Amino acid sequence: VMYSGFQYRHDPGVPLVGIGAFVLLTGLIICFYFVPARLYVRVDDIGAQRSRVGLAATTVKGYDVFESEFARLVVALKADNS
Amino acid sequence: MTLPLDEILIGIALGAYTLGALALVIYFFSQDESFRKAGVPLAILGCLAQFVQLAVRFETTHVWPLLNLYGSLSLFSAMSVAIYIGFAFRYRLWFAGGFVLALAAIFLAYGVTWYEGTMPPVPSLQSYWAKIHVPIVVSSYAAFLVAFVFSCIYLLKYYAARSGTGAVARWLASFPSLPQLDAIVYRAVAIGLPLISIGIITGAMWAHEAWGAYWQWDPKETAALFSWIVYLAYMHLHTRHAWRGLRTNWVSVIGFASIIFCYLGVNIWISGLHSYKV
Repeated sequence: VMYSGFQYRHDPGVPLVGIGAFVLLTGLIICFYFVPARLYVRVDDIGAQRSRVGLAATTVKGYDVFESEFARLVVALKADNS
Repeated sequence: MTLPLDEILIGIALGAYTLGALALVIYFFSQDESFRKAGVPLAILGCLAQFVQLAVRFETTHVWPLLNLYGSLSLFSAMSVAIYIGFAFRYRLWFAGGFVLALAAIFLAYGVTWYEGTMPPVPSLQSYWAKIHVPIVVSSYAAFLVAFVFSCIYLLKYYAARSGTGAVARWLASFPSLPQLDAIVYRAVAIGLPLISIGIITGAMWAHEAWGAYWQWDPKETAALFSWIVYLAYMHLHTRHAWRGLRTNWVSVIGFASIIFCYLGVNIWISGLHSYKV
């Protein structure tokens, strides 16, 4: 049997799916590699031109991941200070 | 008779992984530093030998080496070890290396049994997409393998710590804590999930060029979508305190089982557009 197949497609939704894929990937990368965090700094005057600096942070997600980052930040700040 | 260079390199990699796995498994149980010092260079040597092997093979045959199970499994084990080495250097996780290397050796040895010479792939697969889609997907599988190994160690520690006494408890205490192990699994999945997402999207684009439709519910596509949903569920459940830890690590184990089905089960047992038979 001799035959041939023809296919004609009209996919008007393709750009929309493309945008969707782009948004999905951007969202995943933002979600995994950028941790939103709020830093709190408290400066207490302890006299004689000295002050004690307290540092705290809260984050809504990924705090296992953020914990080490925060620890690095504190170490860096201490090194900067001395 | 002299063996071709790429087969010598496969032999070096297999040998290095086997010996390295042995040394690091002994290190896992004995925590004797000398076994770690023997195992780590072997892991690096095997990994390098594998990447050189793939390059040599491409250079000598001029056929992109990843379009059959032999080459694909080779990249899978190489990427697993490479991702693991990255994690181990960054977070000091050599204690788990024996299991990663053992799995890499098994998958590499299994890949060798699929060696079919240097046949060019079927025409529909000869495309530049082979150089984008395949490495990305295989790297995502490799990241999930690393997540799987640490999930297993998490579960081992969780269950053994509940019943373990004395020596076992002391031995387990030397590993990272359960939340630390859980964070490592999370980081591995956080590498794998974006990669498999890009993999599925580029796969759809390649399918459009090669087969004329973006998505045809081919067994591979369905299985990949299923795995993607499992790991997406992992990520969502991980935000819930009640699920984080024990249950999410079981999800990671199930996810890796689904990845293996998607990767090997679909190719071996089910005939579809992704079974690369010529």
